[in-house]
Amino acid sequence: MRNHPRSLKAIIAFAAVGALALTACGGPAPTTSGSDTPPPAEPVTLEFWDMAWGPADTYPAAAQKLIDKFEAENSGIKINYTNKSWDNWYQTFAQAVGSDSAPDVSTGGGFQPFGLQQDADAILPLNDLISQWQADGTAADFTEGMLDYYKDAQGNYLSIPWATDIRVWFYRSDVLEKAGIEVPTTWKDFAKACDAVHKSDKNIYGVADGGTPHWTFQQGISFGAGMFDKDGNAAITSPKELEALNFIASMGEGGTGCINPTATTISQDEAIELFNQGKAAFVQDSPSIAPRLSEESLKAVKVLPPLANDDGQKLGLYFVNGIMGYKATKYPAEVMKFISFWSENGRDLFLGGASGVSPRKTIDSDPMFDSAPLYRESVAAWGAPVGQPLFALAPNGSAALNTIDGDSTMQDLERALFSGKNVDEAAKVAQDKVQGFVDEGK
Amino acid sequence: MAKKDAKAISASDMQTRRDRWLSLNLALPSIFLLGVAQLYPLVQGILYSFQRGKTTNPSQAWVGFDKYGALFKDPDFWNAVRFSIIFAIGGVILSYLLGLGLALLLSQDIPMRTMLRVGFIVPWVIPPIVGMTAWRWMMQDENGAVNQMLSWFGVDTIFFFNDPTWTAVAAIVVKAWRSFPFMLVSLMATLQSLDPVLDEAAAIDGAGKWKTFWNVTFPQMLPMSSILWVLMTIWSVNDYETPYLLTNNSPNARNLMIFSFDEAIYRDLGTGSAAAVVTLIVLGILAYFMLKLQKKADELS
Repeated sequence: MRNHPRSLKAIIAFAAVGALALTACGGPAPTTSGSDTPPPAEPVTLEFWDMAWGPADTYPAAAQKLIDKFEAENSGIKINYTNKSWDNWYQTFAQAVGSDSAPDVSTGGGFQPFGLQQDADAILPLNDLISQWQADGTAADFTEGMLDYYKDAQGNYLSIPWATDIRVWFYRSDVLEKAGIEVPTTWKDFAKACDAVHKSDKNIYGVADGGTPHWTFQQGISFGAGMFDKDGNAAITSPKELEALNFIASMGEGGTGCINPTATTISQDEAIELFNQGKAAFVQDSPSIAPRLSEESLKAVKVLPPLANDDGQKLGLYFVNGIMGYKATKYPAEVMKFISFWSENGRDLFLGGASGVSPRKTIDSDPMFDSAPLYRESVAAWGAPVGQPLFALAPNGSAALNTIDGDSTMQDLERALFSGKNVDEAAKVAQDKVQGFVDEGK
Repeated sequence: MAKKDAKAISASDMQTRRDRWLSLNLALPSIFLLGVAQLYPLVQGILYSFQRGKTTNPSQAWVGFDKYGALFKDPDFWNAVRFSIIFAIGGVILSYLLGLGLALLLSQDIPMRTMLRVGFIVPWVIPPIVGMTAWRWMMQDENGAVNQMLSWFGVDTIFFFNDPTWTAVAAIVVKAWRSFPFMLVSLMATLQSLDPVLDEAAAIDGAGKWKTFWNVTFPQMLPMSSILWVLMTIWSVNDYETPYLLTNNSPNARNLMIFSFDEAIYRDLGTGSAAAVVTLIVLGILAYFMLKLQKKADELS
């Protein structure tokens, strides 16, 4: 076969000129953010990892529909959508960042932006977007304090909240009526009610719990304490926090035994099922509990009004879930545009079964939520100002919270409370570990 | 004639060398890939154990043996060591005894022997998540099958996963359930390879069944048994699934694998890697001594 050096040289020359031309056309990414960003000069593809916020048969389809809408309105930006399972979520993102294969944008764990930023400087600050929203009035659409939730110690906005997960206590009126017990109004009455329910029928428990240590998180806050002090240091062995831990333990195996003994091994879904079957009087879950209850149960299940502590305070807990960008992205402006769109159009995700409460007033006031059983009552009762963030007394969130959210320290503590272990010893172990997480971030 | 023979031998030698060279060349890509896939993570893990870092940001700084020092001071590490030892020893003994007993039984001519042989393999083939979930449901509360059966004998409900001792018992029983089929298959193959003449000779000399088994059959099974003990101990120490899935990551059932993983992923990559390296060294020493034991047993039998 003969070579054709002239044509080969021509091809190489053409390719080189073409490459130079494309580079010249590209130019630097625009620095403005949000919806007024001009369309990109070259096609952009963003990797978007979204968590499984709703049922597998409805939520991913709703999310994809929203993405199709974004792409139709923003020619030149394509979104590669991946719906991620919650299994090993911490590891998924940690390893992605550690191996430089993080997506451009993702939703994720409640404290994930703090963790990935503090540990690896991986999160794209959204300050420009926030500034724009403050200028054009969009910021006022968020419930008070919500936008500042993801503000770190350096003043950077690490994420935009798109859903809040309020911890709500529910009760079964049929179980309480059968046991002849009034609906409690204080935490002391709550413990007595649980004990009375279990004494009246050994097969029915006061509380059904399982899976996550959310009750332990919440109880300290409800007693006016919390895991952290006002300086952001661990405070699990503070007097009020210990009081809260002892409160839970008093209902466990070492006390009245009115918490289901399987709480140490079952999942949250299994705990809800126990409650659904009428085998427990109280359960803690989100405002979106209704789809997991039978029609029969829904007739009896009510929202427990917030309970007062000894100081008369009524306090609860909420988590926030956000959407965040990553510093390694080549397209920060497009990422912010997408985040802005996702936040603005979140209604479609809730229609698709996403659990949680929108932090945006225009979305949450939508009449479609009025017909969701137990939803409005839950939010009204246990949302802010009753609901507090997990970092409660501390000035802001931190990477320690992300570690706590992923590892088993607090779950081990809760299991110790349920199974009658020494509370002071278990609290000390947790205190030392959590303080270690805090110190790592300093 | 000698010259012709020498030529023939030389040609044969050449052919052998060519065959060996071809075999090596054909195997080299696989050896290379396996080496990379196994050696690289091993070396990287060892290097991580001498560095400060997290999963999001590994290799931050060299800290010498600091991570090993921190590891040996960590009470959670020693709890994991203790549980690993109990879990491994208990699991090996129980699965071996079960496997041996069933192997001896199925070596006899009993009704439905083939069906039983197939049936006993089932625990081996059930996916771990299915098996462990089923066992957890059977054991975790008063309505589970295990507590129901215990109640027939007047035994009060045992909440297996709320107490460290009972959690260990549950984990060992389930481990034995998962592992005995492997013991059974291996020991049955061993029994079938033994010369029946020795047993017959012992019977003729008046030895009873137990004496025959203990003095004639079992010594012949020792070499294979030693290998099984070594393998099963290594597999038990490395078993992440059984304790994790059975107890939903209970602190009462955290072995060295779970400890290493949790530590490396969530807290400190260096300390987690150090734990994995220590485990590797211990298992390596164990394997060496057990192989020496096997050699001795070989000589004896």
